[in-house]
Amino acid sequence: MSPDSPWIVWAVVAPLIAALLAAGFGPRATPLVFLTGVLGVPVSAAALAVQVERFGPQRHAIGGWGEPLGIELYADGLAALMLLVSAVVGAAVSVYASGFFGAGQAPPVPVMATDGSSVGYGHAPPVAVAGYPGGAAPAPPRAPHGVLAPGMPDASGAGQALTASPPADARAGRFFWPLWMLLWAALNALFLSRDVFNLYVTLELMSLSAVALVTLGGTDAATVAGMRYLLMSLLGSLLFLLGVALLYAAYGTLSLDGLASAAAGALDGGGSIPPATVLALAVMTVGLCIKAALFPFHAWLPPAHASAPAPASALLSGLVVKAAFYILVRLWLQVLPVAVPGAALRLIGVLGAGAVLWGSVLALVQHNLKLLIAYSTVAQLGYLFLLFPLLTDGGSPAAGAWNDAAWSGGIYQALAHACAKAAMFLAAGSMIHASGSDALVALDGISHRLPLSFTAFGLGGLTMAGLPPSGGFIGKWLLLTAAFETGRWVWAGVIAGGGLLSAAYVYRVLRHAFGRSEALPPPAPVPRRMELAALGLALVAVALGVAATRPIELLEVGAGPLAPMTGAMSEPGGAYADPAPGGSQSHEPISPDSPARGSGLSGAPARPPALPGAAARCAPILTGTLAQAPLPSTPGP
Amino acid sequence: MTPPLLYALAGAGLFALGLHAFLIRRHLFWKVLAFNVMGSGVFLVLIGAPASPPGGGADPVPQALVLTGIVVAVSATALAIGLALRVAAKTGHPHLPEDADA
Amino acid sequence: MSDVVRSALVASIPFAVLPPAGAPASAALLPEPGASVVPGALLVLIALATPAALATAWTIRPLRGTAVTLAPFAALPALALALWPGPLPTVRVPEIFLGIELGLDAIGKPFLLFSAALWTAAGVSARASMAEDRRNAFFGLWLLTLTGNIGAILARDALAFYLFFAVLTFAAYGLIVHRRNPGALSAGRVYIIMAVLGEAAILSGLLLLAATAEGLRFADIGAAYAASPCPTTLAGLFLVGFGIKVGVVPLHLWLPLAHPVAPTPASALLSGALIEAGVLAWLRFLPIGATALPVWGEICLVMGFVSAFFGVAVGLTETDPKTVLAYSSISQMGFLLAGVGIGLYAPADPGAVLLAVGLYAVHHGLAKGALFLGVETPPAAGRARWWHATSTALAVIPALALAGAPLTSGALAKHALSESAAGLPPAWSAAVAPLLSIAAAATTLLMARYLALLGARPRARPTGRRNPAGSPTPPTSPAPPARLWLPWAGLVLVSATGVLWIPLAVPAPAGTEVPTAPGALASGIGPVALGALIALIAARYHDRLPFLAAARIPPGDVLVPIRSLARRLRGVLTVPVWFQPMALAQALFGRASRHVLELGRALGRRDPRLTRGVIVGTLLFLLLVALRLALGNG
Repeated sequence: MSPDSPWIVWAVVAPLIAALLAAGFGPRATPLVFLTGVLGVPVSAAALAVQVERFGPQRHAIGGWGEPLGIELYADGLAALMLLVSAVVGAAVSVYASGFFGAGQAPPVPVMATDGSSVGYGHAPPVAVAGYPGGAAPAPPRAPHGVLAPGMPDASGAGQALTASPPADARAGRFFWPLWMLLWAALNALFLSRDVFNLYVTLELMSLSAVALVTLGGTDAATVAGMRYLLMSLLGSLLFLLGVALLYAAYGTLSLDGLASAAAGALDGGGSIPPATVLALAVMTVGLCIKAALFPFHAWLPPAHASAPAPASALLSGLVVKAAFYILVRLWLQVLPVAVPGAALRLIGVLGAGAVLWGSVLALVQHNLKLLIAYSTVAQLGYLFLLFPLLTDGGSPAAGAWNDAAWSGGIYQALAHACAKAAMFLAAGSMIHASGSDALVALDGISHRLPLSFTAFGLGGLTMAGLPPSGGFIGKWLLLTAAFETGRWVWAGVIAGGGLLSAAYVYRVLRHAFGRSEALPPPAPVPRRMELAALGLALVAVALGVAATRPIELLEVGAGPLAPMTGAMSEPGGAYADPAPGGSQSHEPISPDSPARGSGLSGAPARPPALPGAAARCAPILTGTLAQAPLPSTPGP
Repeated sequence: MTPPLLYALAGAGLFALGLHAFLIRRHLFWKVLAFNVMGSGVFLVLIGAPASPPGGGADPVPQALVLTGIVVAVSATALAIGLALRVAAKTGHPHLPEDADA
Repeated sequence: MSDVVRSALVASIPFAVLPPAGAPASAALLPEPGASVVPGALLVLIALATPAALATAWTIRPLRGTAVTLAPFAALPALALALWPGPLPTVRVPEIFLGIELGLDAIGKPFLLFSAALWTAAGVSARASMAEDRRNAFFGLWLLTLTGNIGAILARDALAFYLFFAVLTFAAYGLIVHRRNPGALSAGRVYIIMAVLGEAAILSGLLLLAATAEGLRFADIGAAYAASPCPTTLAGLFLVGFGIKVGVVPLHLWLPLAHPVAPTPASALLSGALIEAGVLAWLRFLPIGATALPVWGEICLVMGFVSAFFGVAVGLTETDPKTVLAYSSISQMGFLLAGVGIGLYAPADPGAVLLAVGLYAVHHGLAKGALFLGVETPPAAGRARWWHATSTALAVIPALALAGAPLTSGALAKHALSESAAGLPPAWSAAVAPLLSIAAAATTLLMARYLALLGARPRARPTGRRNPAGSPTPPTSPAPPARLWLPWAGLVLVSATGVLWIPLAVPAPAGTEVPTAPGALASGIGPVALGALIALIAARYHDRLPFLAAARIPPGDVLVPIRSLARRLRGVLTVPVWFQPMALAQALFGRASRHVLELGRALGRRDPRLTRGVIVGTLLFLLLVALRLALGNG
């Protein structure tokens, strides 16, 4: 493993080549797509992660063209981990999709929500124009197989909604691969971008492919949901782009590092934060909140994720929504932390808490499996945003004294959720295909008929509820530790309450799946590889809980504000009411004597940081405690 | 009032107009048009960015950005119009269901 | 092993070998200078990895048969570890969870010893009795539970312990509901509800601990209590959280329901190994010897003796030998709770308490396991006379041991327990010894009840129960097949000879020694004789004492009236429901969940409207204003 190998480029280029192949040669190219994209991305992501782990952050200027007009790729621990999760989830979804869109199977295109069941999504048929209630209608009696309710005249799209005839699906399969590969390339490029405009372009590319993926199902519900998704997404992108323009106007640079040092430098010079920066940050934040489906801008997400074909749902819920969160983390905590006081962190935290409770409660009352999972996504995304208020002791993140447990916990929750939620959507796709309906009541007895998919769903639910040992447990444990350490019981209560509600809605599904129903027809056959892909992903989500040390250590590579404030300006205009102890030497490893190191567990070795400087930032939660804790009795080495 | 500031203010005004129409208009075509107006507003703000490189002359970066932005906006518009047509064909309405009686 | 080989070995495997922990309790395990610690370290890893690897293999269909075949022997490496004479270092495995440390200290060693023995014996028995029962992943869950059990014993830090303990708790649920009949499912429901409540208490305690502790190593627990602003709350959370697993009164409700319904080998484990894991947790998580918590100490002593007598009193009215044994477990766990109470009350001499609890755990685990397995091998009709005599004798031995008869492991353990009470205030130390004697007599009575029930079992039944798919064993065979009774007989022998080997195998903490004097071993003779006498009288005259035969308490004791009361209260909520914790909880929970669902439906009707342009615009504007106010701050 050489530090110079350009794996970072391959992570973007491999899916791009695959997209071209798939678009140019159609289904014939699928083996090549697998070879370049599905094999290429995981290999390059893994290699890049090893590079980052060993040699520190990686930077590559494409074609030798750097700032300001060229494109630079950059990977620190956070980017490498996101890329790795994107690779794992993407590979599993690809395997699943090869069975889902495969020939010879009656394709399980979801047919939910054309009857507007439970929450009234989906459109009303033409005749119902007069009383078009826009979702306020009480749920009509559920049609047994999610088909149009009796009495509704067949509109042009109803035929597709009913049975998803094979030709339509062959078409869907033909479009799936190029779109998905394009999305993958955009997503990976987004994680590796080091410049706000490239972030905008990749975000937009990703969203456009995602919208197209939603509409692949071809149903009315999917078309409407896709349209809504597109509009919200465009609104978010434009707000973000407005922020980019304002930032460029203010600082004359687009690179994250340049912006960070310019903003910190302006403040260092004794000035205050320019209003343009604040305005830019505000509009970008709103745009990203819309894209990340953060409460209260979440309502476009459930119908879109629920009506997409199962592999697309998995990609959207698992990966796509994380992209906006990722940009927000970069922007708030690393690029412009000087403009973010504790009050703003708490504001975002309140929205996150709202999402946890709102989404969980709504997931609890759904009657359709995919809508339930989609609302669970709304709730679980809320957990990610709890990272912000818990990160500091009420002060600005610029002070540098980050709470390592909150940082690792929030990101870890994102990783675990990506794997678990994708697994749940994939498993749901198999179960819906087998039982022929999206309704929860139709799942009775599915645990006996599709044990593998059911296990995958259950393991994913384990992570949702944060039960040990799963990745979700580690994430929530770390967040809870951060809340307890500083005695912020409200956040702790939200985390715990959300966990209980998650357990409740997962249990609702399991209760149906465990139920007995001898009267049902035999399940439609599900290709084995679909079941195995879902199970593999669910096992990864659990394995994230069993082997958590290495990802968390990787996460610390390059963490912390990009342009640390110096001691001279720790009190800019009274903006930082409560600089954390030790905040003046922000880029130093947190003092090991600091009393609040209790998140640590015993057990990890004080591994020498691979890269002095960068890795030392977040004196690891584990090693920080242990490096100085006297080992019990050391009679001899 | 310098020309760049004028550009920026005009851009902000266009963005606000577009945003208003984007949110208030129910018809999907209106929304797509409003999106394009918003985009133009952002481009104006970018053009008005008062950066002048050390060597003198015009700053090439905003122009590159605006060109790229236009490409993105055109593709997004194409997709949006296509989808809007499909929504209208499938539902018989040129707007989203929740906007039906709004 | 040469240094070169040793360093290569250490470098090639992803863990680090530390010198043994120097906590005072484990001083006995310090290595002699120059001894290699690598074999011990490997053994620690193998002991945990064997069941984990077999559990993994079980999930892979082609390997499942092999995994099931090897399942009974999965605990053998752990047994070898418990008997390993060499130095036992602490092993760091940084890759697992957030980095864990594994090792075996003086506290864990007795637990590992009897747990591994019990798992092996019960495993062989399960393989024999459940050969045709391939339902429901029994052996997969078996291996998973074993992994959790061994991992919890070997864990050296609190988070690792908690994670392994959670694995054990949830996997054991599968063992309890294995038969899937109504009784099993109902017992499983009670178990899982209480287990989740226990997990919540433990997790809260852990978080409270982590908020102030320097680290979560067990070696640091004492310091963490000293630093904590609320040591009483902490101890209470751990006492209750783990107490649910131990099953002491009043946290015992699930135990008499769950232990009898599981397949017999699993019952032996539940009553022998798994509840003792909760006792180990107490020793690990409570500040025994570090911080005095006299309030909790007194509560533990009182509840311990209440449990001891309550278990006997209810157990005497039971008619199923397995239920009698389950109540006997409640009673015996009372002794252990009292021991923990002594440790919390008077931290001056923790060594004696740790030794007493360790000895008692070994003794009880083995004896209770033997008693449970004995239920499976009754002296059936039509069998040879020698079998009849032998099996009766074998069944009596562990019963005597549990009662604390002279020259048994029970006498040893009870003597150690009463010795450890010396540090208590005079009133308590004077009371403990008599209370222990009365309890021994009561236990004798309960064991007599068990033996009587065993002898009176219907003759045709037993084979059908353990062989649901096949035909019953032909009544002509002189004895049951060896694979059925051999593990039981082996466990009985191990338990019976305990008094000989326990002093050698169980390390005594510094400043104490395992009692071996004949006087100590004969201390239980009076109470046992008294209990036996009462039992004989009752057996002789029971037809003249009809109230004895009429007394029947259903398994689950107080749960039954609570349930019926709750049922009645549901109709008329005017009755003071506040006096019934469970009914209250049920009412509150039911109401809360109704409210949540109603709220969800109401929100669900409004949720789609959130995408309307006007609403999006309003929200967008509000958030922008809020952000403008919050960001930059001026």
